Amino acid sequence: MDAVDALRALEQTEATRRHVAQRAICPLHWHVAFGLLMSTLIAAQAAPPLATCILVLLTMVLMIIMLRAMRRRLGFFVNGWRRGRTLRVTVAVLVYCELLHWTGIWLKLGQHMVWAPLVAAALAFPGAVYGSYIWQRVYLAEMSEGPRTMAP
Amino acid sequence: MSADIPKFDPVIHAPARLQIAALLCAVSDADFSTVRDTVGVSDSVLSKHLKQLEDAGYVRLSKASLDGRVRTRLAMTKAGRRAFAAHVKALQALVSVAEHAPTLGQLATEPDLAVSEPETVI
Repeated sequence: MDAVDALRALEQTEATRRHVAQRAICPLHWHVAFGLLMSTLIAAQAAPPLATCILVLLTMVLMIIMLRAMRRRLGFFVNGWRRGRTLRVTVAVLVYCELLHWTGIWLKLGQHMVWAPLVAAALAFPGAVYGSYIWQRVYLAEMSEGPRTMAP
Repeated sequence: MSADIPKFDPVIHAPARLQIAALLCAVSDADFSTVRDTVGVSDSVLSKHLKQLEDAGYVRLSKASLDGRVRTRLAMTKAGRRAFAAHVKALQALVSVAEHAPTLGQLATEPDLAVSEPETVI
């Protein structure tokens, strides 16, 4: 093997990764659906305990249905917790949503602001949608790196 | 100088297997049909390549039911991801060495820069 063959092999690898990344582009309503699911989990804390449990369970079921639909459409699955630059985005979205989640619970239970989880959910929604969109952009950028610089 | 160049992986070296590894390293898992269509090979050819990757411990195959149909899912193992990363680094190193040589022709004739072809695994 010489350098030309090596470069060709790297270019082929890059083309495959780019092909996968292009296929993985999700329509906007998928990001919105993710944001709705995350904010529903937070808003559920405003409801009475039994209703909270039912809403959380329902959200989990919807999350599974969404993942199955994604897998059916794409033919593959990309874990949000995958190693790489996207992990920082995943952690940032989770920290943001969890901060709002626990603040909502604390305000409801400690300060008797029953509506607080609803406000927290309203704040979490745009953050989760934007985070999901940014995650996809970072993934695309990572998969589209040139053959000389791409991190495997 | 050739000692600085990482070793190529003979299992991943073949173009089709390199493509399969590149695809599976970019995702968590993929359907057999998706890999087949992306690589552009027949079912039987893909099965042969997968067998070699599986034997080397690089790929894990599993069956899962979706919409009432059993589908084969392929996923890269940790060892497979490590091997692919090392192989890509070896390719990048070779290209980098060539870029620092005045011409590609010099690379081919310079004994210190010679890179041996890995054993072919068919």
